[in-house]
Amino acid sequence: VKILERIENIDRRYVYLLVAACLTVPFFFDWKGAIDVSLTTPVKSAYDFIEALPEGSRVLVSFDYGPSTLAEVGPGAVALVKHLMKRRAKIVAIALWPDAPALAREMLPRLGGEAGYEPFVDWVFLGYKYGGPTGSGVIEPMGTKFKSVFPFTVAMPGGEDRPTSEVPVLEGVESYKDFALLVSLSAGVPGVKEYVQMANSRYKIPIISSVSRVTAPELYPFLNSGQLAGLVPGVSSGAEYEKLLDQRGLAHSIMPVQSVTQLIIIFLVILGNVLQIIRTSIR
Amino acid sequence: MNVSLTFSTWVAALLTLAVLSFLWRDNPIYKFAEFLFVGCSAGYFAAQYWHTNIKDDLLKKLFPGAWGLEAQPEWHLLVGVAIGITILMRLVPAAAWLSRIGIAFIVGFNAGIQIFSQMSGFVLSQVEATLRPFYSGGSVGAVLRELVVTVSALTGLTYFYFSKEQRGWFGGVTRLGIWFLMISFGAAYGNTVMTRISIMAGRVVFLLGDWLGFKIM
Repeated sequence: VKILERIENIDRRYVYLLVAACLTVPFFFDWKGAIDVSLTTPVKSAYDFIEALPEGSRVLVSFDYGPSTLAEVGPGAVALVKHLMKRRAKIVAIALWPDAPALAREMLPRLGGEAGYEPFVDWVFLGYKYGGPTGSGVIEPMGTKFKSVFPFTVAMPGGEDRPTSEVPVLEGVESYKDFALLVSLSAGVPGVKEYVQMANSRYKIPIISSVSRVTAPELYPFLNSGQLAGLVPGVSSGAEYEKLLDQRGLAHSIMPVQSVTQLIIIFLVILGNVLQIIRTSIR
Repeated sequence: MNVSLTFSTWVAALLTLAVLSFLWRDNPIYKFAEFLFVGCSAGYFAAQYWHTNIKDDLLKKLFPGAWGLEAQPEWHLLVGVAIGITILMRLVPAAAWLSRIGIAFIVGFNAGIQIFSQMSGFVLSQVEATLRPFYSGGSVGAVLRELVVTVSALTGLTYFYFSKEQRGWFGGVTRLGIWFLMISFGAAYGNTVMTRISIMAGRVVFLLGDWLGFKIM
């Protein structure tokens, strides 16, 4: 009984140390081949949809996450944008989160440069726009007067902002119907759920999303109903997408750490429950 | 090991460690990082709102000439400005009642959008997807999936039907509903844990790779 009490009352900081070790040590070992990344249907659906896009299709990419969820949404987001650029899609990027522009301004010029994309011709970033707590003030009007919602582009390093009416990649854009796809890189509200609610239900624009794992369970029904064309939730799905693109990235680096730490947490949950059962039976 | 010499990387790394120090216990270094974050966020968000909403959406459209733009002033935007000012009237006790006009406008606008889109996007689409035929030429797995979706939706809904006592056959159906709900809660918990691990792993990649310069495998 004393041993049980000692284990139950262990200082929680020892648990933190154990988790910290699991999160750190695996990074120093080569796990190539040890972790098998198997493909899931939502990720494959996203990949197949983008793969089937005709060259030069115009795609709306919405940055709806911040630095706090960069490690979770980022790998899937990078993989999706890389795939779009591989398919030579024209990218029109916006942000519904105020802290997202910094991420877009880092990602788009870097990936665009690697893919030989020309700013304003092949891609453009229109910046952040506040649309209320659910983003309805932006998502809804984009369906009828896109350029009025985003009248100017955002200045990139070494450039200046321009009226959207003068930007080649936005020529003829008036609403969602002028985009072949909407990609929401989403970690909460406003994000993919609001796009499904307002943009897909009314304007029928296909949506693919890279989301954090925590929001994934409530999005699976939208896959089942066909309101989402594909879903890339969390780092594990990011790793799947990297595998499909045949490019090892951040997701592949994190996967071993995630697997080891999850095993430890599963062990701790089982240990806690076993101890509870023993204690109850002794009483 | 090739430690970063970039100032901003050091600031980010030390602030990360300052926040993590809370795991040991509450301390002044953590408090400093917390207040710094709150202050910086407020300033950053205010600047974002100013540039993207006030400047681009209002001032440039009202006074395009001042920004060298060849466009006609959109004076109708002044109606929005007036409505916005009424909300700020909450700060003046004598005229606080005016704020109701602005709030009424926001509530009405959002209710109008939400009622339609909630029904269309969430309710009707999901009902339609739930009540699809079990067999439509697919595999056994597809049939089972449709079956699970329909049964879990119906039993889950039945659990929340409180006009009949949950006993007998009805109690059995609601118990099945509880099992489905418990499985979904478990899935949500598992996904939450995965998210937290990934986020922490991202920080560790930054600390070990970007800051201390270790080679991340």
